[in-house]
Amino acid sequence: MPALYVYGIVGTDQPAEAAELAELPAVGGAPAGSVRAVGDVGLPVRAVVSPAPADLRGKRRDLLAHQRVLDALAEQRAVLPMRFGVVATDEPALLASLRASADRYTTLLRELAGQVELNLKASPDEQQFVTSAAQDPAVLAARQAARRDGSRDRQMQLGQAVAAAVARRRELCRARMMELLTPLVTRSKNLGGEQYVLNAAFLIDRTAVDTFASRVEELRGQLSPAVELVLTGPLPPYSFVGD
Amino acid sequence: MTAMTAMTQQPSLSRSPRSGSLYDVLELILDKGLVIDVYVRVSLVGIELLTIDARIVIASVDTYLHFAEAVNRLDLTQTKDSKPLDEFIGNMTEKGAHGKTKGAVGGVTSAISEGVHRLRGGDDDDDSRDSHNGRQPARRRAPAGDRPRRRRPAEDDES
Repeated sequence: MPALYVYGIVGTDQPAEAAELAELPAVGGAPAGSVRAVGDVGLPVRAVVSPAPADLRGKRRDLLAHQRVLDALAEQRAVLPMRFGVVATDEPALLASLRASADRYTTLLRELAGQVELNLKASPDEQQFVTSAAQDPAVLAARQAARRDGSRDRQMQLGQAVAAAVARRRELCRARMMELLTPLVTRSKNLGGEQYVLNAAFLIDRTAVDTFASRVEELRGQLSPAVELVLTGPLPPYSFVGD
Repeated sequence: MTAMTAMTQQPSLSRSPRSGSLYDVLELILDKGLVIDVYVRVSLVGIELLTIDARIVIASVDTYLHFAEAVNRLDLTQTKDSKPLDEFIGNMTEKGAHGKTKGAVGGVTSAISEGVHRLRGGDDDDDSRDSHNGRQPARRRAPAGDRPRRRRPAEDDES
């Protein structure tokens, strides 16, 4: 039997998914109509799959196909999104695996019902942070010292003071943003990334998405141009199905 | 088609550049999501690097000297520039933003939908490594003075 590319797992108590899947391109370029759900009698979950390509390389269109199938599924029902690149050796193996973990999946699906993921990335304008850091007492002192003595050591000390003051401002900024956003969400997860002031996933009730977006708009107004915000979503709950 | 419908019905609140649409969810698709042992996980050499590479910003001698230089260039009488930031991080005790939500905002559109829309033109054959390479310079720390304005590419029309 052929290997199957796995997009995600849905509950059998949810609306049937055939209509949404009919038109969608499959990962690996299989023709439209290749994406389908597989399940078994008595099994409370189904996996959404398509024939696995022989040479899955993860081209842009494959990543988009993966994302679009999960987007379409998530519009109507709870879904456990798989990470890109998961392939089951064949259908019996997939069904056996679903059966073995069915309880865990149904619990997760219940927890995630009506919830979506939003991703917020806050990128700092370095110049703005440096300008703010320049007024920090420690930086002012280091700058005075560097003025009197132009040695490289003094410059390094000044630079370290600036770096510390910038880091402090990033942390304050991140904490303040989280303080304003977390009351609106079910859960949040820090995704990290040194280049961001904040890069976080939020699990949120679908009905609260607009409120969250409005709050982000307020933050954008308050923080512009020091911090640039990019809000992405609603997404399937990628960040809330793992460990 | 569902993603397309969502995109046309709801104005996008946040716009990312063309390649960023995919980039912004890439770390989620590649790093998060469910994985189970019995599955074969296809090895995606090259792609895995995408998510790691963007995180590398190292505090180095160069970074410190760059910061020192940036501060030395500043005229300290002209620090009004950072006022929004100073106010935001300075007022930790105030809850100014609470309860000011102003009515309906159309909703958030998945950035990936935008990507799908824009990519339908036919350049979806690009290897994702290419899209990464195109993106990468903006993610690196550049000297403050020379730093290009990110996320404002000319082709990012407000369609």
